Amino acid sequence: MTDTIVAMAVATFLTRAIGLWGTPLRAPWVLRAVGLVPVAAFAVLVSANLELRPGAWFRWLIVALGGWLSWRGVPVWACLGIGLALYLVGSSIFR
Amino acid sequence: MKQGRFRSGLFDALPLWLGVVPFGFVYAAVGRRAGLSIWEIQLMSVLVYAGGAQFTVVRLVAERAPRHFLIVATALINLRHVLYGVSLAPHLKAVRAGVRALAAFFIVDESYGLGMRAFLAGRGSASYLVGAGVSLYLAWNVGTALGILFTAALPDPRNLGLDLVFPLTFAALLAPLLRQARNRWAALTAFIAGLVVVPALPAGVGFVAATMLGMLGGMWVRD
Repeated sequence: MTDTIVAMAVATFLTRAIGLWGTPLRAPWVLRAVGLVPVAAFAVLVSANLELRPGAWFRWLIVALGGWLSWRGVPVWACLGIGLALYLVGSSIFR
Repeated sequence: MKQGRFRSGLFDALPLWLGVVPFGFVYAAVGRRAGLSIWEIQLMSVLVYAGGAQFTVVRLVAERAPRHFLIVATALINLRHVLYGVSLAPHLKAVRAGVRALAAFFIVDESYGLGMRAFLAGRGSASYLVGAGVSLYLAWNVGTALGILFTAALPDPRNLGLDLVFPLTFAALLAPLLRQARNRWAALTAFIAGLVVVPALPAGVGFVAATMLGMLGGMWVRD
């Protein structure tokens, strides 16, 4: 199993390094697309961690609140703290 | 590397320990149940350092999947790192190869999020990215070690709501980027694609497909 873990580590490192050492990007449309990677990736990381079911509305609300606070200039760590505190209090009320 | 920036990255990632440590803990507990040895569980966290892939591999081990499946699954699930690397490359092209390799090792969703936000705000650096990555690496490995030591002590973090750390963090990282129309369209498309495509496709592939759909959604909008 140790050999397999080492091979998994190499595969993982390659996925991380390939992009960093990739060919130089110059075409304007490619640069525009690459500029959209963080926006698109963050949005997927939000929605992939949420669920489409009736009981999940409170989680959606807290996540939306976290986004709104960040939009208003609140630091990420504070959005996280406020969101988790509200979630812990709220989920015990709405359960 | 600049020590001050490294330390900033290290400390900025600390709130995320709340979510990462319990999941490292759960990973170790699940790994033990799947029949992996203590050594194998910790070694995977030390060398592979990719939570999603490690959870999947543990499941495959429990199902007695062939070894090469584990390697292919790991590569597929981590395909999104290629996109992360491509978007980070312009910010790191002046950095020495050794530092770039170090930064590459520590790229995970959360360190990419913090590092990229710092770059977009004009205060990013390789040191900051590595600092955030090292912090999260420590959290993941501490969580794994604690999980090995106290397997039955902690309830599922999902029951405590700690899994909310991840969408909450990424929502907070995303929101300030939505001031441009193109970014808003890309985010909206990616968000919907994340809900529909990610559960429907194999792990890793769905994430890459949804991200690329989001990029396409934003490409056609002029700011």
